[in-house]
Amino acid sequence: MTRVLSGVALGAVALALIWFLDSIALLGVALAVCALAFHEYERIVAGIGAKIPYWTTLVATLLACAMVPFQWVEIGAVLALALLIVSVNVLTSDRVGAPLLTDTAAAILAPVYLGLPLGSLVGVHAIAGREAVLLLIATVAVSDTAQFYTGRAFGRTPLAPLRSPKKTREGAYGGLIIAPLFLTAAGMYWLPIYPWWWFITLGICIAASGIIGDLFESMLKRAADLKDSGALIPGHGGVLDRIDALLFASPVFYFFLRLV
Amino acid sequence: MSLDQLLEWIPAGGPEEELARQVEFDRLPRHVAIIMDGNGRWAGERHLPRVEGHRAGVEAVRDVVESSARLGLEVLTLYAFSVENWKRPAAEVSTLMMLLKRYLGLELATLLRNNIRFNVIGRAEALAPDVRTELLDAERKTAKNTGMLFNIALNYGGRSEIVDAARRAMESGVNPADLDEDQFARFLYTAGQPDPDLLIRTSGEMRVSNFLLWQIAYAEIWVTDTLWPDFRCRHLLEGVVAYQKRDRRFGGITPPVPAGVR
Repeated sequence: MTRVLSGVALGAVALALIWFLDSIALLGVALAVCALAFHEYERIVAGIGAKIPYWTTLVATLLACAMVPFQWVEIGAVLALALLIVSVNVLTSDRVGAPLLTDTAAAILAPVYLGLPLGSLVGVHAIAGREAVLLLIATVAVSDTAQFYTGRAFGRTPLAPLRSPKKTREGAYGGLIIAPLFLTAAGMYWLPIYPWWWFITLGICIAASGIIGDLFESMLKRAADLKDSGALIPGHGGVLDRIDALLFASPVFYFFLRLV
Repeated sequence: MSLDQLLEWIPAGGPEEELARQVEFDRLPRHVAIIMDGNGRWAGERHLPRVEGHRAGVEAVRDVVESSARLGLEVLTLYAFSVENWKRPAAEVSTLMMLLKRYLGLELATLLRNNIRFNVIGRAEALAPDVRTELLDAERKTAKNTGMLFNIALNYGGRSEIVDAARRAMESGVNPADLDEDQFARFLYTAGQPDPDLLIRTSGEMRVSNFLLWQIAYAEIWVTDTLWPDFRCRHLLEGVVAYQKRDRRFGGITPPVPAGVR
């Protein structure tokens, strides 16, 4: 019951923010979500054994998020800067040997894994409007649901037993088929400027990247021996658990939009 | 070419359908010319760089071209790039050219499917070779189409067009005493095309901006506050309906001719 209630409340708040805020204000929300997700990320990688410089990495991650949507600075420049400040921090640490590389890699991953996607989500809002953001989120949600139910009905072959034992290939096919169909039907109505084949292609890419994102986050948690990424949302675990698939799907959508 | 073709294309029951039903198809403007303005402002409102406005503007072009063909216009002319636009930052110019190439690559199929003939007006020889190749290719591939003529004005200026026409007239050795308006018009980029009946400008600006200066002598001008990236079939239909409510006199006094009656 808690799970349903908090799920509905969370969904309603997210929906209202996306619908009523303008892109700049939404960036503020994205930065807040980014900070929360980073906090959980830091805890997970600490569980795996990586020690990342908390504040500098957080700043680099927020910077990456903020610079994407309005193209104030080229994203390449932000990543270069992130590498620079993270390296300085790692250099001054007291660690030696292989862990140094682990620390650096885990720190650099944060702006790429968290900052870029959340910035892209705001970018979608700025370029294509709130309908497009909701379309993306709905497609990811439909893909997740389709995977769950087709997996439960027809699931035989495990997809990635090492990463997530419950996921099946059949479930993945369900997502890969149903998500593009949903996106095409909804997209032709909401964003009628694109042709149907564009939506089919995009739908397959969103579903595939969503599945990868989901597995990636499970993999991190499994490696850290954690069940949930956090306990912020009653019944739902942490922020990262909620947005794992979206993190991989939103840059795909964003760059698809910028391609045309 | 008709209401049915248009209704196939626009969402049923929306404002587009209502407007489409108000259009009198027996007195459509033969030639509609559009000054596509407001891409930069559209981007500015969203805190985006100007190039994002142009990118969004391409979507409006796609929509308006197909809508015009389905509506049954004979000629559609879009003002894409003026001789003065070279003054813009080099990065913006190169993005515009890149978008133009991409548009042609993406939309050639649409042009062919809708029987649209593509034609460039302006001093195209000054454009980059790769862009010119794409343009010539699109012109060649659509040359046999018999539907709407889609002019795109690139490196275009109304005054330079008149100067070019004067040069060509002189080169042709025409006797100055014999040169009249009809004959002069045959030296313009738009030779053989009807003059625009309706000139649309977006983004609320009340200027002609050196566009088709000769040809718009008697054009009805309709200005909308809508910014170009937001311009869609619906706005085109609004323009056509507004045009059809006007009386055109062509310099005479009585009786006024309702727009579109020839």
